[in-house]
Amino acid sequence: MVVVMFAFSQRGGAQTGTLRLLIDPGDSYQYILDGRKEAPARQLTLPAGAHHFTFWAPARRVVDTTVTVEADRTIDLMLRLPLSSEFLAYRKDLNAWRGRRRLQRMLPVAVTLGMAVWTSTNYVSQAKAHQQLKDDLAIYERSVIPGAIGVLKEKTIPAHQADFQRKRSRFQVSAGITAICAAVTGFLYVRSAKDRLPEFLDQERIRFEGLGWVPGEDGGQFYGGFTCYLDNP
Amino acid sequence: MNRQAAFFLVALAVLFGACLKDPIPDPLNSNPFDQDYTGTPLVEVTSTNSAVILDDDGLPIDTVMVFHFQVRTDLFPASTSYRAITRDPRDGSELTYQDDDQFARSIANVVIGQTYCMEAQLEVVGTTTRVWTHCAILQ
Repeated sequence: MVVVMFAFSQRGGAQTGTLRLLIDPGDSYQYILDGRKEAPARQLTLPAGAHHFTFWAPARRVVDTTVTVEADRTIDLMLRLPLSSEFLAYRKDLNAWRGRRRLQRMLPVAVTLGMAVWTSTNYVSQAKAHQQLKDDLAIYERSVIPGAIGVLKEKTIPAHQADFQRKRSRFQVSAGITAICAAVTGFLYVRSAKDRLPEFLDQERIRFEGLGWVPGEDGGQFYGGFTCYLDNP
Repeated sequence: MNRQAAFFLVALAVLFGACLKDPIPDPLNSNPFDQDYTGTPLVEVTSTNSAVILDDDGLPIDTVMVFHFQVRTDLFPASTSYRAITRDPRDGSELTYQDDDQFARSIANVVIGQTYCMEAQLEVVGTTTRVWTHCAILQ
């Protein structure tokens, strides 16, 4: 990609003035002053006259501006670098990706865990009903009272068997649903792995720096930009 | 079969393997005090014999058939007090025996070569077991 920028810069006389840079973001901005990239500083002493600045910060737009420095005076340059359109699009894609990931991973896992808890509860109920029947059988086997055995066989055990069968059916249904949920969760988990995290390609950086290496899946790419400053005579 | 599918099948097998079986056997009739019990009788006839009843002059006045019973207390699931009941099916007459594990009952007016039967059961806390009917030919 080639970006051609046209800007005008004006060199001042021998007298100097001070320029304080109040840039947002304050910790990561860079600038090119009169066509030369310089180490970022908060305060500059410059010859009086117009100076051309190109500001940039990661995820921000390149901003070109011209500042006129007056001799023996200190002026403040307050500037907020706006977020780049690529970064806004990336942030939107990232949020969408996070939403999809939540939907495809966290939600199914939560549902499956919920179903597993329900299945466990049903298993405990089933096991208790099963134990009740075992207790009934033990009472039957120990009993020596024919009348009590009759009541046990005709009323107590059938009622407990019906309860056990109901709880076993509930457990089977919940186990089946849990298994299906687990399968769906696994499927979505595998499928969501193919949904790659969006990558942010900072085009403004390329525009600012002129040439940049952007690592990618297949090794990366060189990006180049060309900026030509035309001095104002 | 990939690893996920194998894991899923194992999990499914574990889940359904957790289904418990009804522990109550069908039919439920293993307790000797159960009305539906079909095993070894609790009241057995160990032997039968005949006896001639003589009067004071030594003349025969009747022939009786004697059933010798034994209560199989070794089959009891737990020790208990009981009452044995014998019933003559010809006339419904009953005799009871409290906590006797061996007793005899005779029936009168019998004829040699005929088959005679006797019913027996146990009673515990006012309720009775099934009835066992024992028949024998008088010889």
